Amino acid sequence: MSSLTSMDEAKASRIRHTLWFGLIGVVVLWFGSIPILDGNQSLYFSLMLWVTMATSFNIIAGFTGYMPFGFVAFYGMGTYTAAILVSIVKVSPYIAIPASGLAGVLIALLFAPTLRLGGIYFAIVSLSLAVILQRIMGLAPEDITGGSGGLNLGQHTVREQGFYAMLIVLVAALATVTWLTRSRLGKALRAIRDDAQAADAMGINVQRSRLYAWLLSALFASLCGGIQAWFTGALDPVTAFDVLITAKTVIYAMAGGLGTVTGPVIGTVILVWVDELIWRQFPVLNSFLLGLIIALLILFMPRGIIGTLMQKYPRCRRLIM
Amino acid sequence: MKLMLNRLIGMTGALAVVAATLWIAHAEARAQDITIGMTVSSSGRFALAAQSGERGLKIWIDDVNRRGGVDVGGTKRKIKLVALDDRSDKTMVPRVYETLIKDEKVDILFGPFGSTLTGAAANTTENFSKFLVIWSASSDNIYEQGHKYVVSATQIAASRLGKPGADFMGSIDVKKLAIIYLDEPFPAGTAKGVKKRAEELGVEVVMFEKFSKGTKDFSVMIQKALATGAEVFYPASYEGDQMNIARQMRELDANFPITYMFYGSQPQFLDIGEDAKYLFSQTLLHEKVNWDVNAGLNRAQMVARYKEMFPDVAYAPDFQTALAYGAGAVLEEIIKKAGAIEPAKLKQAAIDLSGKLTVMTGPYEILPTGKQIQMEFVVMQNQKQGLEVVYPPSVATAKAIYPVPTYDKR
Repeated sequence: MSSLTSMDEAKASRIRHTLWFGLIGVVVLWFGSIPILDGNQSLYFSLMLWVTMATSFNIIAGFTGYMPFGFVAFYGMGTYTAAILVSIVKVSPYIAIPASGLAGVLIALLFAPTLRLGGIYFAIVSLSLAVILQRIMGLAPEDITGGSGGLNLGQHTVREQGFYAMLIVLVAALATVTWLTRSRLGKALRAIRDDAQAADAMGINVQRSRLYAWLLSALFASLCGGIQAWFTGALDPVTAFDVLITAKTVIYAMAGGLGTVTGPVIGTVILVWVDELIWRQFPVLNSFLLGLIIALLILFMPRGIIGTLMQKYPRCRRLIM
Repeated sequence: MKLMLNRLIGMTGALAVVAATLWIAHAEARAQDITIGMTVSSSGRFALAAQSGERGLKIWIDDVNRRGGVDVGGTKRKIKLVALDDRSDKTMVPRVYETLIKDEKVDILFGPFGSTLTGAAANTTENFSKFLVIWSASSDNIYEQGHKYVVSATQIAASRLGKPGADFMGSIDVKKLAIIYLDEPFPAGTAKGVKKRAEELGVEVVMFEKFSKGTKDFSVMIQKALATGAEVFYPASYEGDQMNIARQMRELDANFPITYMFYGSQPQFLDIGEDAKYLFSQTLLHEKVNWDVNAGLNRAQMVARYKEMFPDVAYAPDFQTALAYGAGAVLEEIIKKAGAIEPAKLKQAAIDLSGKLTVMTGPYEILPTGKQIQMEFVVMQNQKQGLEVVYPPSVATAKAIYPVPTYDKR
């Protein structure tokens, strides 16, 4: 009986992974062909960026239960690092973008002691982190950060390369989260999320595990910021550290379902497409309608789309990452 | 049965022919229109100003179409506007402009409101080699990016926005100037421009301090400015902040010989009553500012058309309306000169027309980068009888009153 169950499990796992990797393959082929087919690069870039942001947020929030309200701090740091390196220091974007990821990791390390806090206290302290960084960028010498006017990359803006860079980072983020579900670290994070004390009693290094999740999360968010700077070419302290970026990330991730691999992806895709649809059809009311849809979604599906599906139809768990 | 079938086939064929003819006719009609694309913020911090600008552009489009369209190489072509929402969100701007270019297939782009959004828009339109007409972005930075198809039709660069005020100070031999400014592109750019020009004219800038967005209490900064002995107090920010500062100055009984507030002549600002009295300000749109135009409607005609087209809008036309209308009038001349709508020809025509046009917002003059160096605002003062133009002398309607009466003597 138990060997039958484990055989079933192994089969379900194979199906799950086949479906998941198949989906990633389709995504890569589809998105990869957009520039070639002269599709709307900005729309698909935006989709990739938000899927990556939601996925990276899922690493810290979904796997560990920590909600960083100041998540935009890493995004903003990545934006400024890439922009300063390209436009002021005159470094190639192929060096500036990875450097932007590193900058996010360094900031995350600097603020790692805040992981000792829990719940709302951590959430608020992380929010203050974003505000502090925004003020630093505004107050720093204008020769470096452009002051309140920000920076403009002008002719360094290379959309197509930025587009493919975003695709690479998206795939890397999805691969990382997939790996987490199967890895010891992922299992440790889930245990910590469910009961940190029990996890500690079982020999899991709670602080180190949380730190790894925090750093991974920061890495992808700051890469998103760096590539965004490369793609759009214009940034300033207000938009680079806009609290709405955190808000959208949280909403997209939760709409799909935190703690699952597919949830943030599905949530982001559905909401971005719905947003695109109503924006075109309702030029004046689109923001109101989008807010209404999100409110209803959270009200009736508090676990997110995937989370609710798995709760109502437990057999789905076998097929969904 | 066979007869009915034949009739059915015949009718279907006829309908198909009619439909195809109509579609071709419509497509041809569409092909004749020049489509202009722009983004307008329906929400967010730029909504009011963006919508004011959109109304200005619509006035121009209506006027052109009433005359049968723009002359493009001997053929009249009507203008069609496609406006999409950018939600005052810089990250949305590239997506919206790409949608306008690829999906809506617009011929020419108009910029969004403000430097913050226009910087992102210009990078996108330039990538697709599309002609972009800027009507409200003052940041000098935009014109330093090497863009080939960008022209500021009416909005003077930020570095020059403060010039009228500084020139006025120079003309009345001001010695000391205190500046405070909001740390955002437009007010910061204006403040720096005022400082630079004032210093060129021998005015000592005794205070130059920035404040962050969201500041509500300006009492310390006002007191500091007073302590410097400055003759002119120049708070550079948006309308809301300036109204707040005006009120707090009265509460503190902070009397400067001259107080200069950019938005001091706007209708909403004047509604604050006595606190707005004797302030110096600048504008492009006022009944006493009447340029001798050689393109488009003059000020009175534009205002009359605004009332006719927008009888239910709560807001009177302001300088954003004027800037956008003026940009449309300039664009019309550019298209006529170019005889085409290809971006390179339009840009060359824009440069060729520099120094030769005067629209309702003033004389048009650009650098090869597309930066607007004319369209200077005039200096106003809110005197007892109302707003008067006090500088430059060529268009002045009254002498400036300074030092202004102290609050206890008003």
